[in-house]
Amino acid sequence: MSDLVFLLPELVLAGTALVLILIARHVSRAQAVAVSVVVAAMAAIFSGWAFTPEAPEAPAAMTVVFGGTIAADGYARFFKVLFAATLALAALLSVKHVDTERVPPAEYYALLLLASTGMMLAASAADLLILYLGLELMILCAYVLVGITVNRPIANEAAIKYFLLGSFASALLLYGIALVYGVTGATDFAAIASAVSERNLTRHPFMLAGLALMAGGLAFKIAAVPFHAWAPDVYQGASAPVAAFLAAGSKAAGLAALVRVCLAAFAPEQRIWSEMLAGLAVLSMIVGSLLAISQTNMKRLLAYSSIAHVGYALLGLVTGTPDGASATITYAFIYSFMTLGAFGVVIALGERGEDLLAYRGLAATAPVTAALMFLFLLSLTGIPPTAGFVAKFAVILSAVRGGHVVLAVVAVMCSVVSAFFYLRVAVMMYMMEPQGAAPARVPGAVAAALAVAAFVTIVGGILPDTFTAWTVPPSLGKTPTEITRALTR
Amino acid sequence: MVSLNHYLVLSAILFAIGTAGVFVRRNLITILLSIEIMLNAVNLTFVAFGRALGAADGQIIVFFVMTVAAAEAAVGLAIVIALFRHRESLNPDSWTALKW
Amino acid sequence: MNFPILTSLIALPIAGAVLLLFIRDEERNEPLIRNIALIVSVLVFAETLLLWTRFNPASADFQFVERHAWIPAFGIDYFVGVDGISLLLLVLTGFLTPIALLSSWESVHKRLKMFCVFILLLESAMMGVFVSLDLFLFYVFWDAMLVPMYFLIGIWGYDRRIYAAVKFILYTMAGSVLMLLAILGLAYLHSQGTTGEYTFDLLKLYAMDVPRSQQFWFFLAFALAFAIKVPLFPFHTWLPDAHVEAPTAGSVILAGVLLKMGTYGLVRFAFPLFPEAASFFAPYLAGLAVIGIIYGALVAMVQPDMKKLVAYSSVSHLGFVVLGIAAMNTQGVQGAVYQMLNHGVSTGGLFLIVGMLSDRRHTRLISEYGGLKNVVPRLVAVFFLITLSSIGLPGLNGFVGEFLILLGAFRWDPRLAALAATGVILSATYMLWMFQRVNYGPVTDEKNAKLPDLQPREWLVIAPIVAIAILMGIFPNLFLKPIEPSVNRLIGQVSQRSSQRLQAGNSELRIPN
Repeated sequence: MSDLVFLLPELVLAGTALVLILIARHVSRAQAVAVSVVVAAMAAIFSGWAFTPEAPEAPAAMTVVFGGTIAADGYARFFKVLFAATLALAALLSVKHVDTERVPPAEYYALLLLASTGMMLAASAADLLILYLGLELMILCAYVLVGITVNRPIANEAAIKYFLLGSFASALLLYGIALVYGVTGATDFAAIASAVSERNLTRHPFMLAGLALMAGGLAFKIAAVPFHAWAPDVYQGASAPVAAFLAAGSKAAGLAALVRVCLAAFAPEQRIWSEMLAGLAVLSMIVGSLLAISQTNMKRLLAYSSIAHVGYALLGLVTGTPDGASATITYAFIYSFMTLGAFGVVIALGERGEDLLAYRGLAATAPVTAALMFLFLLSLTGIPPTAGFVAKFAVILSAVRGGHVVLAVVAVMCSVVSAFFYLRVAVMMYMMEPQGAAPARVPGAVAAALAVAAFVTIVGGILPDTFTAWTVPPSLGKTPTEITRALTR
Repeated sequence: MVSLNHYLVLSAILFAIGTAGVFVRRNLITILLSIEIMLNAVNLTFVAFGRALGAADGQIIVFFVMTVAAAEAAVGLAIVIALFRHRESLNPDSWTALKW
Repeated sequence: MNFPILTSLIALPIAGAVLLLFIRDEERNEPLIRNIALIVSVLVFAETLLLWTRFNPASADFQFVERHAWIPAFGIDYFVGVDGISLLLLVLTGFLTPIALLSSWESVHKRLKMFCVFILLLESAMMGVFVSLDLFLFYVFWDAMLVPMYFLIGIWGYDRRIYAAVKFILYTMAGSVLMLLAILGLAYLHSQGTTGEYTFDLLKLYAMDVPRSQQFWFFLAFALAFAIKVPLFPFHTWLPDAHVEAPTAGSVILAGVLLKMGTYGLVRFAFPLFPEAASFFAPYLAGLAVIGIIYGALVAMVQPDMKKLVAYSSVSHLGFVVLGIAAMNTQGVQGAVYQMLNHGVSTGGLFLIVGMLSDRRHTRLISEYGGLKNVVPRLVAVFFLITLSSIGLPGLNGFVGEFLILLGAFRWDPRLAALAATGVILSATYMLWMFQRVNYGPVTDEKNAKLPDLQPREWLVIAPIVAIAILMGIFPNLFLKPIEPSVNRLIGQVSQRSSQRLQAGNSELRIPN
């Protein structure tokens, strides 16, 4: 029974989702549901704070519960707060869309809640089976969310593409898990790690094949090249709030799972997965940056940018050290907020938000919206003093100290390329004449979400050390590095 | 005598058949079935490993995978039906609204 | 002395910009917006003057130092201070910002509030660059400065402004990201040392012994970033575009202060951090500088557009600065620092004059003018003085800097000095020829016959520039005195470290494979 308190965030979200499904027939307006979802997300965050495992010997050590399947550590807490925040922002961003697109509100929000539950489970999994179940829960809800506007053919098309490629990738992941299980006889991370090092299985062919298959399956979840093909189509086809939720949440969840698996389960195989991830990172940065240049749809542009950003985020993990991994999780955290912000502006502009050309002269007709968009674009480019710069700084520093100078050079070159297409939006907003009337007033819920995203983007750039203090109780680790160090203990 | 390797080879072949089906077949329902074949190939692997290791884990995992596969099939078929209403076709080549 | 004056130099313009954000951008608020921006920038200027009076010119150390921990995990501090090299650049920044604001009094009406906000933010970032003693902090300001400049060119510029703005920002970013890598590499090297800690503290990094193979790459990365900013030939192609398309205020700040960041960076970071690589590369840098001096002058000569002519003259003039730095002796570096100030004053002045002419006639082509001498005599008189100052006539500011640089260069390598000296002659040719075509001869175009002469506001803009140009020509010691100790310390730092290695028996710098 006492173990259950560590799952309180998940239980709160899943419980709220079940209640919403029960009363779905009596709910017609999105607003009330959105409020309840935000309250649930807040409750999830605070329930995490209320029940913190005592760290008996070493501070920030990994505490496992439920017979070693769920980890109750700073790392899980860090991501749970991130996912709850992502959920709350996505819920706010969705209000208008749910009403105008005639999506059944209770079911929509229930899916958001369950997907977030899956993300949290994936981040706190200490066992490959739980990891798989968490990721599947997330992605099954995501398939439905993408296609939930059944009357839009483009959304259906995006959903089926997402579904086919996603199921295929899940099968790869599962086959990888099966092979690893066969070799080591275990699915929980600690046992895998000790089996590999004790029985010297690092070069076992099944182990290598399993590692490659799992890397492929997880690379799909984070949309790293060459497993990225779904992302542009899905972001474009899905309604903007869903795309925002996926870009921030599912990417962070994939990274969370990847980092934990690599450090906790496959630490002895570090050289092998480092090389695989380095390849994924380089390809993602280059392909994402180059293909973004020619895009004319804002959501597609942000999709390619998200592909490039996953490449940057992986730079930290490539080093294979807890310090590098801490840069990756910092990146995931900051990226979530800035991409939610950028999508938030797309949502705030309504119909015209998707077309790049519709941004012409926005600064004259909607100065505040344009300024916010510019802030998020600056942060995505990585120009100080925004949080995006701090994130990029952290990953590049860890690449340099890991001796991956070539990766670091590729990263900075790609960020110059990315400056080109992000600034193109700025050029349109600020340096061209307005087209058409001023956009409609931004709904209050969207404005609130944008304010939170902007706050994190600015404060994260000026006082970057504050994040950990917001997300993790001090006993579980005071800095991202302390959090990731606990994974390897 | 059927050894562990026989099971593993069979499941690898099944997995390969499923993979090929996903990429080669041009009918949505067949592609869905191919994915099911992949998942069941994995199930076979789990069961075989579980028996060889003398532990129940493998068998237990299979139950979870079957549940997930059922949910996946339900979601997949629902999306296919929604799509079929618009297109009256099950051929993936007929989707053109989004660039691949 | 406890008042954080350097922080206030950075914070005051930001505060002014934030204040402006609360005013509605309406026509009746225009005077209010202009006055707030002007008052803030004048206050900042007054503060820089106060700083100068409180500055101890006999000391070579960093003064008014402030230090606060910022990101302890990476050893990043908020660490600022000022020495003789940066002191006068701060004053120059403070001096040119109100002038730039005043110069746009009549010409900018479109989105005035944003214009003032961006000028103030730019000022804050420029101050930040010059006072930062922490490499991370320096990089933050260095990159943050791009954004307001990008907007100044892109929104208030001329016809091809978007092209120029994008070219400006991409060029500069391409250089600076490599510098970021080198900064990270330095911090990493420090963490490999005895203390095992990351640091971006400039003073600690000065003291660190960087292995030579790394020095080579680090210096190249730093030098590339600064060479693009200066701009050194062949990295100069963004400059004419940016200058021609930028509004007058933008050109003044761009030429007056922004370009100095490149040369300042060479003096403050690239040379003292990597002394051996610097002494290895100095001849190449000097070679490029001399090519730039002559090339810039020759290209300036054939420009039909006055603004482009002045832009290319900047390439030529800044070549002198780089030459002086590369010489790394007292005269050379002192002259270089002095020339940075000169160039800010005289080129800033030239851009103002060109701006005044193009405000009147809406063209910058030399062929559209002619015979202005009798139409606008006062304007032409001022124009003449600033032209002479730019050429480097004795008695005006330009002479002192160029003379010192050539002296320093001669002591180092007489051949380079001789080549560079032809640049002085060439600059007299193109400037005077341009001056002659614009101002002498008969009035060929009727539109030129009735141009108004200098307005009181324009006097206010241009008179301080002329006064400073004369003051700096007649009393150079007033300005050279605070520079000297810091320059000597710098040279000692660079030569001592490279000679230590010489004594250790590793005389030549090998190029790593």
